[in-house]
Amino acid sequence: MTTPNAPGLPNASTPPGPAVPVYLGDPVADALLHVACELTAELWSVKRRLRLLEAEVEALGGRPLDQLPVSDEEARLSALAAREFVASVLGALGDVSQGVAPHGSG
Amino acid sequence: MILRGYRGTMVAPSTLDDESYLEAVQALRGLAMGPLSARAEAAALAAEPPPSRDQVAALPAVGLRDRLLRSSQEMLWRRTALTYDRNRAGLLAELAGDDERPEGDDQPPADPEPRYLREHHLQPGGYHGDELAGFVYHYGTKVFWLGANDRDQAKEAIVAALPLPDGPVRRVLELGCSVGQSTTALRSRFPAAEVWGIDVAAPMVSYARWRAGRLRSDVRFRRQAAEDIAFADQSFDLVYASLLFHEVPVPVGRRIVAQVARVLRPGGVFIVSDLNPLELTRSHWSAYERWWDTEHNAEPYELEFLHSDFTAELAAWFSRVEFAGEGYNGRWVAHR
Repeated sequence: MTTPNAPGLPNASTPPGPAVPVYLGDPVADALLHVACELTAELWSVKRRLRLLEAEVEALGGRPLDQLPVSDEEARLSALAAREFVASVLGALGDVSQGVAPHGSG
Repeated sequence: MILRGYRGTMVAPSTLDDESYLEAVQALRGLAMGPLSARAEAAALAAEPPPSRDQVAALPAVGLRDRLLRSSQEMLWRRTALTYDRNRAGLLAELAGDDERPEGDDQPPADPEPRYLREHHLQPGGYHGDELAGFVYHYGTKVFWLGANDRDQAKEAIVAALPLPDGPVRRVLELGCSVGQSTTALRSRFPAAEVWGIDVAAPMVSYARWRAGRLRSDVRFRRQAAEDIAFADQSFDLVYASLLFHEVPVPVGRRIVAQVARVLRPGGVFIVSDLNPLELTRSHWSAYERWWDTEHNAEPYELEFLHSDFTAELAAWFSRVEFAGEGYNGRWVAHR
């Protein structure tokens, strides 16, 4: 599905460049749908891994995860990891303002 | 009872999931405030002729930044409020255990809940509407400041750079002290001084007391409105207000200034850190950001403050006023 000549977008004569294809009229909505797809996949992979991990911990007589101590340094490193994760998942949003082109233009 | 220990100088969220969620929200906010804001600003400044506010808002890059900023703000306050609510009884017991501290002597404001109080910054209940508001505000601002103040280091750096009054510093007062981060920093800066913090919101004062006790900082707090200070004339050497004046209507700010002029001794100094009015005129983007903060981040008095001539308000009461603005931050130093 393409959205040629959507309002505010370059037309088909725009020279090809670093633009990204847009399938919905609103490039932001387009990017957000991509984000939702990324998040769904990432969320499921985490949920599956967590379910296996918690079952394993319980089988070994371990403590509930909410009772595990977290040091400030661990929290700091985790915050950095979260930043990288969010940047990778939401990176597509940054492309919106870098120029967009209708699908198939280049 | 504290469930999961401390994070920096804050109580850690009640569950690992909440902490992880808020980590992600902090990262989202970082994305919005960093690269997405830079791109939004570039798009707004590239538009010719200079666009109106509505035209700026309609730019895709701006709408995208605004949506992420609003979402992250709503997410951070809702989840922070929820995580401490999960341990409401335990945290209230912590605060109650602090009742024996000697520096009570609160003076509830004449209007028990001043009409100007709002759900500032989208925090549910604002500063005053929830007994756990101090816990919520402290961790919420950790996310807001992107982790840059986890151990009060940002507040301490600001306080360490405050100018001194003429003569000794024996008594210090912080107005609108909220959770007391600057108050304890003032105590560290002036270890021989008697340091007071006042705030109109009861939950902030009870949390500030509890927090200072945990940090073993010998500071004193009272519940008191800054526009109705119950201290003697000329009884302080230094009065400090950080991010207070844009949180109150201009007429209330005017009353605060008059009260400070009364309690400050000759030669004393009143230092105000707040939003920089020059941002209104730096560019149409910076003006847009201040408008957006007012309308979309529940800062109802921000534009009113920025449009007022705060330097002139101070000059009406003080012999000399110095102002310096850099980026979002403005600082006024008023000499008595």
